Amino acid sequence: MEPINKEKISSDLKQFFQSEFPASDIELTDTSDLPSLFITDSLRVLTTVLHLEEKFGISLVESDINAEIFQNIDSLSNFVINKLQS
Amino acid sequence: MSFLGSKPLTQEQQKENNARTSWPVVCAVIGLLLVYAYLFTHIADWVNLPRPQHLVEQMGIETEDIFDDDHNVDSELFLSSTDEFNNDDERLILFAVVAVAFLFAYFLPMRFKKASLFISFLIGMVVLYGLRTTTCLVLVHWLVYLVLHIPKPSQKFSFGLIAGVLACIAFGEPDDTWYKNASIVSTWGIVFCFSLNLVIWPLMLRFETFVKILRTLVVQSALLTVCVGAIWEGVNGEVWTLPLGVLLFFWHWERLMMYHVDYKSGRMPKEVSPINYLSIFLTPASLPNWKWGVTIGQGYTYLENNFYCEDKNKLAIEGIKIWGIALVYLVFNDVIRYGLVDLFEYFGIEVYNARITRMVSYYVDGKEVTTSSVLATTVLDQIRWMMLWGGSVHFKTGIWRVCGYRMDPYFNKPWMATNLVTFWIRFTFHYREFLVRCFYYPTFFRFFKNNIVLRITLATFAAVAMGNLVWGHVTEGMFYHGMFFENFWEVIKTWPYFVLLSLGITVTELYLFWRKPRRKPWTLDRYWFTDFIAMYCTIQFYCIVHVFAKPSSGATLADCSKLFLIGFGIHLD
Repeated sequence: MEPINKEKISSDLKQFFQSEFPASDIELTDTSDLPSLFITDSLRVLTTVLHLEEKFGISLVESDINAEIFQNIDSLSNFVINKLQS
Repeated sequence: MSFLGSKPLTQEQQKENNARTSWPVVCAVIGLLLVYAYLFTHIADWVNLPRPQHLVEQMGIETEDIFDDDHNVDSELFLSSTDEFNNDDERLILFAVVAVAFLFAYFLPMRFKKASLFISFLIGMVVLYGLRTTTCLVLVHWLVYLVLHIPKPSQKFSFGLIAGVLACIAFGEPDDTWYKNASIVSTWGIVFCFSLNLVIWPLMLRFETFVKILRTLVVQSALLTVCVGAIWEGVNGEVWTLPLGVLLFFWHWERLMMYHVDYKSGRMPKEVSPINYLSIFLTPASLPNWKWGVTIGQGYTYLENNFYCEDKNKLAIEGIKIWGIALVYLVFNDVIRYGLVDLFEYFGIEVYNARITRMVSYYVDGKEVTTSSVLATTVLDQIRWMMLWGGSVHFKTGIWRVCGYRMDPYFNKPWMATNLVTFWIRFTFHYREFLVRCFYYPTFFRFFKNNIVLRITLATFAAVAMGNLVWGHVTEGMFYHGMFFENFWEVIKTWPYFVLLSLGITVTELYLFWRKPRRKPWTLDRYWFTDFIAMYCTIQFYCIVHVFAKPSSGATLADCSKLFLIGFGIHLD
């Protein structure tokens, strides 16, 4: 199996946000503010959580749902990497 | 509006946001409060100005449904559960307290700002509710604080003593001589001090289970009290009456639950200073319409993340804007409400003065109710409620904003929602956050992790049906109407409303999850009309299920169900 690194996670997340929430006509970069641009309601939070759990096989807990982790692609990728390593 | 809130700010960023003083902004805030005082109090007499109604009449404008008997604007902005002064005087004191709170929060250095909010609240509270009620309220919060945050050894004696002194002021009977009073205060102080130092805290430090039970009892005290009180009344016929300070504290319990969620999740420090804790719950924004919009402000994290997260002048300007919207609601709510009622009646649709309870009574009496009446009345009743609440909850939000918090509005253009999920976010933002954080997330992250349908369904029912009914409506119903078993049962009987709403939201969530939206709602394209249809269906569904939530006396479940079906054009009679 191909190892997962941060670049791959970032790339997957960008693709996920752009395909799932296409209404946002803003270019998504590693530092784009996700809470204000993409994850704007609870359903989008849950969709993102389900994607992360399914795609990367990680399990999220309630306290993971905060603006620090979901701030941008970069912070979210770091979170996934940390989860995978722990 | 960010659903996840903002990222916590550093002290340097907060200081930067506090750096610039803008006198025009200060003048605008004070000026708008003076406008409020002019419209809603008798301040015009003091400065020899015509009263608002006379001024409007001098301008040649004819008005109805705006002014009361003393020619001020008839307002839904009031102080709950106090009769120390008349309504106008109470409002004037409120506006003065808000002005003082704003000036303190605006000009004091960062480290004093939160404390200043608590101090200005105390001043207003003592004047409006009296020393005993204020002390009782502070005492209950103080005890909660001491249970959630066990003090350092060096603080334990003094903190216990403070609890005793507060209890003495709240409940003790004063004597004629100073030395007897001093001995009474000392006795209360020593009793509390020793109880906490020798019993409660040692047990908490020794037994983890005791800590969990005690904290749960404290956080759930409101629900436990009303349930036990209602059962007690049902069995013995004795009705519990609570001291006003305790009752006012109970109205903070949804926020206390959110604070506890933050506490348990580790999103906040275990050590919080007493002033920091008290300034979360006891701020001038609590004072107006104490029982309305009680979840505004949420728990620790939300407030901490939104405090001075933007330039203070920008926050104050946003506060001014929302006070402007509040003013429209406060001045014109009756005009708009009765205007809509007249409009529908002009077209021959009976709307029962925009009250579902009237419509249900009418139907129970055996009179005919048409489909258009059910649809229109249920929508107008919600508009009536929103117009009634809009002014005060926006005014509360404005207070938070001018005092340096980026507070989301309670209502945020709910008529723009094109599905039930976004409607509920827009209609009762802070209350919904309470349900999501206290019921939805704990269920979603714990059960049926391998089955999306069950996972979403259970979490939604936990929040919208269970949490909303028991933790929201049952307790509030009892606080409003007294701890009678009948009141308890009346609220429980409205269960179909909660089940239908849960079903609607669950179906919407699953639909949106599987069928990804391809366009942003209200984009000006050929599908714009479908947004309009979706908006109407969403609002109408939310409104029509209220047939079950507001039954009149004598209405059975069958009556409400038939009326509900009439709304869909199905007549079973």
